[in-house]
Amino acid sequence: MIRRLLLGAILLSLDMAAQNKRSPIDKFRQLEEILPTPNEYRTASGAPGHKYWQQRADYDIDVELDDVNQQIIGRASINYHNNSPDALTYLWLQLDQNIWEPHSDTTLTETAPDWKKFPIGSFRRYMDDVFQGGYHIGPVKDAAGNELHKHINRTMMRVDLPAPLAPGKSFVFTVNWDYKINNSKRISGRTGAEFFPKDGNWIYEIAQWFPRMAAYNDVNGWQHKQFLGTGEFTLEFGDYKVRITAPNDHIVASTGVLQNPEQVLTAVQRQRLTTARTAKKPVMIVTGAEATANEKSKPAGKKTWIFHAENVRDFAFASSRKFAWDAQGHDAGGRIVMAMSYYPKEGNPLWERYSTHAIIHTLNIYSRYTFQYPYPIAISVNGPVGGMEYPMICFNGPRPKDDKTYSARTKYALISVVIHEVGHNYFPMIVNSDERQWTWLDEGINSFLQFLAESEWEGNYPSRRGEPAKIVEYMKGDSHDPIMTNSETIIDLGGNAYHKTATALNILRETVLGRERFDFAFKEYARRWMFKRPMPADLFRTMEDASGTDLDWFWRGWFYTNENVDISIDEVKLYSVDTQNPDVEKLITKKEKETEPVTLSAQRNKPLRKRVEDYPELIDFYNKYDEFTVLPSEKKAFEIWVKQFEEDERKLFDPSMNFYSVSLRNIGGLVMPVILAVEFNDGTREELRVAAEIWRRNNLQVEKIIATRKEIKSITLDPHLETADIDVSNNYWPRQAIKSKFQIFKEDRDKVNPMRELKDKEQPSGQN
Amino acid sequence: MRCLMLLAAFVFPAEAHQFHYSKTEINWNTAAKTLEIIATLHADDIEAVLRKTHAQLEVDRDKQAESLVCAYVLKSFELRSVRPRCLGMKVGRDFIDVFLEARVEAPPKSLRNRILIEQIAGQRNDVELKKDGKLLGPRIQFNTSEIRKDLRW
Ligand SMILES: [Zn+2]
Repeated sequence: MIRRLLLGAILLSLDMAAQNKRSPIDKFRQLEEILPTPNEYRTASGAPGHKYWQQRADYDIDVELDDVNQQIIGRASINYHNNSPDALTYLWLQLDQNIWEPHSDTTLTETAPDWKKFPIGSFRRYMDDVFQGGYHIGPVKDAAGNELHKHINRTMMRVDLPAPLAPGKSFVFTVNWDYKINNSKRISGRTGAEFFPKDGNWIYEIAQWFPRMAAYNDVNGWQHKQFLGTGEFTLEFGDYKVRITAPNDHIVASTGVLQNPEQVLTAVQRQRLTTARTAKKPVMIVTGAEATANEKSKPAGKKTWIFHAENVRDFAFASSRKFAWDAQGHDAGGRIVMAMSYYPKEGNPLWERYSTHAIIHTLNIYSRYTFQYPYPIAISVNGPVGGMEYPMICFNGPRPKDDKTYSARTKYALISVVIHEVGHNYFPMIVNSDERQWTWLDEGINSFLQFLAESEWEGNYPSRRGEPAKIVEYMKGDSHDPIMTNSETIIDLGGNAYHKTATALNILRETVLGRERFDFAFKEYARRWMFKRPMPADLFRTMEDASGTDLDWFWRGWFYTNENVDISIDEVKLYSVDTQNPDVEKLITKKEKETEPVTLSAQRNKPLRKRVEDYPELIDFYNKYDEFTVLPSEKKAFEIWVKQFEEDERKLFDPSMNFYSVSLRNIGGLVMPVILAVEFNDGTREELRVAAEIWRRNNLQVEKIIATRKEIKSITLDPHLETADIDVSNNYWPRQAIKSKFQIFKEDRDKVNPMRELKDKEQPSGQN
Repeated sequence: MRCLMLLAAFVFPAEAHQFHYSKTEINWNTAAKTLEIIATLHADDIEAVLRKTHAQLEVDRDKQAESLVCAYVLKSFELRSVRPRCLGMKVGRDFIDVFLEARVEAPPKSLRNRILIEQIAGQRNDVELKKDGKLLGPRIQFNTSEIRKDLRW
């Protein structure tokens, strides 16, 4: 029961400014002060401008994989095209292998661990046993063979040009190098070699293996922010011709299309590949039995695999004699994309069952939300790297146990990581964002699309990221950064760049814009920036421009602050119209009085004999007067009052209408739409979805009016858990007792769990 | 002064994207006179640590996993003059929740929280104190240089 308050009808509207005092910070102010000024390269609507440009670098590379000493020996000819309006006097290249130089910044900036328990891996770096990683760079020469001056600044190399490279001109130069490949057991990373002691063989996953052109762009000039190990890459598109020489019993998986299958594959393997192009299921190109037999071989020489890749921003490959290989053609809008997986026997039965299916599933779902996959190949490789993406190829770690059984966590870890890493082909391999600066711009978008793809793999897929309720713990914590934090600085990269961004985009889609508007705008962003380099502002602006919605408050709150969502229903008041009509009002007041509770003393006193009953002369006017009698003067006053209003205005004085005022308080700071599920006393329900703009004049406290002829029984805020509200205990009116996680656990534990009993009996195994 | 530096044989395979932390909530239920403790750990981290002694252990599948995780948490999470018992755990994709309970007349005055700190470089443990479900102050942080802290109720 709530108290009824009278709502007086008034003629003049109140001054709104006096009623709602603006809270100090306007959370809806436009982002102009933060976003870069639009120009001819990047428009105010978030699209590439009419003078948009980007550089291009084509590579011609010979590389040898040394399986005896675990090293890479390479030579490249790089053709750099200056499409910028600027003359360049030097070129910058990235030397990522140099993070494994004994004195790299990655090592030197590492802070001290616990002195009482010093991890042996960190300790090794300080001792003689240190890994002698890093590039040995030979002379850099121009096309005529003249040596060019070079300067190496840790993970970056500057090549000084003999004359400034004019706009529209190209420059060809050569460089050779070698480096030792990191053993992933000792030093893990995005690339490395894994040794299998039982059969004495290695799997190589080779990436960041050649001097790569640093990006030069309209926003940052040269992007030569040093590589410290976290912020990934910023690269230019180009065509690659790569000749990979490996032991002749190796199978090589690579970015690009194999140019010489006749020289490196057997007739049987080529035949199987042809079959796979139109197959309905993955076809084995190298069977598990063949791969196991291959493990015992000794190379009789070397083989050179030639790959060509067009319009890619990077190039990676994997090589081993342990690889089984399966493939299946995927129809990408009338074009066949070869989805292929490479894995050792240690990866089965998981890999043969799930990897290639997950690749094709990813291409299907991601293409629907972005653009048709443009490359001819999509590969997933099992080796030492836990999960890392490159154009057309990615490396994924999960494997079953030695006894060939695996847990649910391992199974879903594999499916999810394949979706994620194959998904990176779209962001950032094709929509080429700057990973060194903004991890979230590819990882967050990719994790969001991963969630959509997982939702279509099977019902109730155990996704790690996407559902708003899952980000609540992170949003509550104090290691919580704004999303707009540089890649190397973020404290919890997974929680922030991946998880928070993915959830924010999901909330934007489901709660703020709705699927239709979001999907259109998001697809437009992908289309506009396909094979181009977007910046955060281009995403923000495109999403607003294409959806027709001012989202500055959303970007400001979710991307530029570390506030969280916590909205509370503080109070609900019931108002009804004060008709001023004494006939109506006195009757209502009388009814109210009659329903007021009778006190205990009054109840007990009621049967007692009263003095006035024995002496009627004590009764006077006041004993007989009914306070609810309508007096003529009151009637008269009402008639005068009512004349102020027009005839149609008078009809609004309906006393049966209830006005509920719901007081909402913003405790967390983020402004968000208000979603209220209202339950009425007659058992009916209604849902009210109010845009975030309800907070625009006062972002700390607002009152929302619900007008109804029914009586409200209860109100629930955010009934579908779609806003990541960190405290749901204040989301109910009247307040409800919320069971604690602890209570729920104890109750569940006492119940019989048929799932658990069945699960113990049914263990996944390789017998299938 | 010469300090001794001990070498730990265990090396965690550095995942490129992982921030190693745990969060523990201690709720003092004054009516029931109990401490209700939920320790939330990265499943991969605790799994990797337990695999040093139990090769290829899978926390969501192996029968002995629950007792191993419980034993580990009970050993690493020492409340002054309170001995909780482990009720069990719940395993998710990313995290494991471990549930501990203790009967208390008064809440403990201090905590030594060494969860994963000696095994994983950079591990950080946050603790949240609650009284009857109401949060008391900001999270308390434990790391390699601060293992023991006083608890204010
Ligand atoms: Zn990723």
